[in-house]
Amino acid sequence: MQIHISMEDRVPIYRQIVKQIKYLRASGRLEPGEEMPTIRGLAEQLRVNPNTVARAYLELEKDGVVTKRHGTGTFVSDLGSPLDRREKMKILTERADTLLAEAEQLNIEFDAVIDLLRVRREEMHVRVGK
Amino acid sequence: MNLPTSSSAGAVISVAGLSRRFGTKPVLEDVSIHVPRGCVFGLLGENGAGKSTLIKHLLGLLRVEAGAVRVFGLDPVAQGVEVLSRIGYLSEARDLPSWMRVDELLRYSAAFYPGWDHVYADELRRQFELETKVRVRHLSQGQLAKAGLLVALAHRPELLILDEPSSGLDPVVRRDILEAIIRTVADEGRTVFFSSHLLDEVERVSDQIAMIHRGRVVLGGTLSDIKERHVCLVVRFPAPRLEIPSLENVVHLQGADREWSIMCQGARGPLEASLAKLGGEVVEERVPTLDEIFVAQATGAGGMAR
Amino acid sequence: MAILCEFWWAKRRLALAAAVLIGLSFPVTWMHARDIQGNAVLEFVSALPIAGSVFLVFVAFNYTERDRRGRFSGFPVRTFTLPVSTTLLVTTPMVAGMVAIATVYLMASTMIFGYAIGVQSPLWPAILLASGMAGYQAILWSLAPHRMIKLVVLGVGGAFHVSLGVALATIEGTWRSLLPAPLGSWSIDLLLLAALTPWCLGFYLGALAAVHSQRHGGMEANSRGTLRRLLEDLSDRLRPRRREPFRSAAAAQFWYEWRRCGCVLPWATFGVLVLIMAPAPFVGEIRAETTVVTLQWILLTPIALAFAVGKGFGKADFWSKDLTVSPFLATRPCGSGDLIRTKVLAALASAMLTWALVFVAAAMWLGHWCDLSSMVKWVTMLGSKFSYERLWVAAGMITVLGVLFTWKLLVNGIYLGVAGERWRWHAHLSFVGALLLGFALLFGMLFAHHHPEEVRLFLIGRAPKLIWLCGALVLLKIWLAYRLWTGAVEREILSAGRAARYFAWWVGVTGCLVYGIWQILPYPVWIRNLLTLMALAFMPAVRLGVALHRLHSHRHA
Repeated sequence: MQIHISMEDRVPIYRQIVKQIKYLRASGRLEPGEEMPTIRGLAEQLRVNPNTVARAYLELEKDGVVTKRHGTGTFVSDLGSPLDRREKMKILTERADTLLAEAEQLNIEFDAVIDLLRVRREEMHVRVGK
Repeated sequence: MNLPTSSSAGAVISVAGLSRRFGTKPVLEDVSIHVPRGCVFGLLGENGAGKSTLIKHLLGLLRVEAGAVRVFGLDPVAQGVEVLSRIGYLSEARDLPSWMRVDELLRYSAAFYPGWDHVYADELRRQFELETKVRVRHLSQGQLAKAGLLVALAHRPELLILDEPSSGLDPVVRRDILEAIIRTVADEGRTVFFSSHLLDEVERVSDQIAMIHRGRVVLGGTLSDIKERHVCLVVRFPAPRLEIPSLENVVHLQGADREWSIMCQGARGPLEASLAKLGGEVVEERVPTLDEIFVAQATGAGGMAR
Repeated sequence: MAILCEFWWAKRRLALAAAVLIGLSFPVTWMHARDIQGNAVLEFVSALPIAGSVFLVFVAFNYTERDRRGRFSGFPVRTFTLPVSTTLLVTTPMVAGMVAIATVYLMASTMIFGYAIGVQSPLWPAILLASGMAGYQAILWSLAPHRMIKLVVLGVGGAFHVSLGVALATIEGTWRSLLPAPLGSWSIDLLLLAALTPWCLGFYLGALAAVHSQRHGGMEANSRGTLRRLLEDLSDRLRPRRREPFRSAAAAQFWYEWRRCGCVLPWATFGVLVLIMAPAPFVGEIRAETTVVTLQWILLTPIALAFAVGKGFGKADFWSKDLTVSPFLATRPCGSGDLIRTKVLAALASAMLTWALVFVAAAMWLGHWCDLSSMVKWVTMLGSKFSYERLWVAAGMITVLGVLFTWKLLVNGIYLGVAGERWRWHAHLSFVGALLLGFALLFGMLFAHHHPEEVRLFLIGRAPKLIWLCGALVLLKIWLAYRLWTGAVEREILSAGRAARYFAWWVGVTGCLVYGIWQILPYPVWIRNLLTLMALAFMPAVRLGVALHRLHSHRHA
């Protein structure tokens, strides 16, 4: 599982972990039922304090992204729960906010942004089709 | 600013009101620190701020002139042998005897610590890629640091004290050392106390930090607490100003003309009121990085033009 | 010029000492020149400041600095980054050194010898000293990384120059008388100048090349690599491969002390013995008188060496220049008392091994290559005068005494090095030096006295008072030892059990010594009492106590 922690980011480390794991699950790179690395293992891999990882796991469990089974470890919970779509929308909302703010700053009209989105989607479909 | 004296009952390290002078120069002034069991404690400070002096007090290398120091509830000077046998220490200068071979060094150190685990030591040695037959004087800086860390870790100490573990090392070795430290911490809640001026390391790895500036503790608490306490405000004034008088809770001022950047610690209310009186308006606020907090605390408060 | 000034500022303490010494001694000797002339001893004493100042000039011009990691001292690396050519860097100190030493010598000779003896002194020693200085600096710079080899080459070079000087001094008189004056008086100087100039040029060029290569190539580990690694590989192969862990912390510390301090004395003795005995197979049978004299020297070797080695015994690491206890050692979970105890035990092992070595070597040497006739005669004479069993007891006692004395010399140095303060060391050395000087003067004056018999009777008459004084001093020593050791136990530097065991050891050894003395030398009474008092003061107690307290204070500053 490839997670990248950035110290430059103002966001606390545990929140970065939470966000990235949620993203991985939402984008399908983490499959439901897949086992998560142990707190200790992930801490060693990322070279952060295990307590931070523990806190991230706790929050993920609270949000229903992962489930902890006693003795066997932590596993990704199944997709399809209503929480999921909300999570996905949350991720997209952030990106949308950034895009809109930039458009405002660069003084580009909203309609141009919508057109741009359509064009980019066409392009992506063409590429994927090829 | 001192740490609130939290429950020091189970504290592994307990320093209260420690002061120390070398000659007439005060090196530590009224320092109080409590490190609970299982905590990773980062001690921040610029060079010469007093970090090594504090660490030497913990090891019993310096006698307490004023205040009290207790490690595991014991006095490190009076009960030195017992305290030291439960501590793993890596010194800043990494002064291992240069004439010994690595295997001799391990054999020698093993005799002093009852908890020495030979299997674990060997595993660590292989992980650090240290040859047994090489003499310490032929080791590179990075290998020397690893050897020192090996000696400190192999007896599974309750408390690991590291004085600038990454100083003078390249990023690859720094990673290895950080990994080894994390592994220690993950093992049954052992306590780590380390001093560093590499902020991103401290930020990654610590539970609690304390910052020492000119012998005084200016910041203390958990990382999230500290970040929440500080906020960086960008203030815009209607007319250019040459200087701003010192205001409440301001840690650091920087700027010129109309836009000034103020680092505020604690309650913002009084500060904003004073700023309003001066005609300033807060145009941006953000959470500062630990780097910025550190530099701000180190350079001190004051209304200075850039 | 700036280079020199900057360097001298760094060494100003030494330069000041040299200047003071020279400044004081020269005028003093100058003024008393006439009186000194007759008395051999005082002449010798007056020559000392000159020798001292020459020595100090050599030390002051030791233009080296430790490299970044402090592993060896060589040409100061920081000067390499200055915008000066290598030639200038090398020439300045060398020329300055040569000029300085020549000047010092000339000043000394004209002011002291010239005035007193009224003869124009020869210039050639100045030239010799100058070339010696050039060679000294060249060796220091070019052989920087090889500590041992540097010492050896310096020794050889120094010996060469000194022997040249001595040889020239002896033949000088005859030489001058052979050749017609005024050519004769100057010929030696010119000849020496001619002979030594290419020598000096060689030194200069060699130093230049070495410093140039250092400046542009760096002096990293590879330079001392090959020989050093060879030696290390060899010692690794020879050393027994011990895999099993140490039985206890004390055993581990003992191994450490043995490796660093303990094996120095046996090795040094071995080296010296080899030097002494090496000519034996080639010379053939050794004459009886030479045998006795050489045997005396052989038996004195461990003691003399122990005196020197003991000064460094207290250091945390014998071979380091740094006197402080490194954090690595200070954070060993080992009590200060235990640390001192392992040093003392290592010293004992060292002393025993050294004497065993000496005996085996001496036995071998005596058996194979010596004429034992005079020794046998001497022994029979003593045996008939006293009695054979007394002789055996005496021999046994002397052996034990030798071992104990060597051990005492090693242990007595511990308190010096243990606390990491250089000035104590210097103070101790100067005190010992002054004491030796005082004794030398005393004996010189006694022997030079016109009526030696009177002096002897005078001393013997005063003997009882002397013994009371000695007794008082011994009592003071015992009281001090008691206070120091009980203090150490109170401060928990040492466990009471260990202290008691050492005390028992002390009582046992002293008791045996006193018993031996009373058996062998019951008469005359005053000698017996004096020896008893000396035996009481023999075993190291006060200095060990001091060492305990000092180490504890140093570790917990």
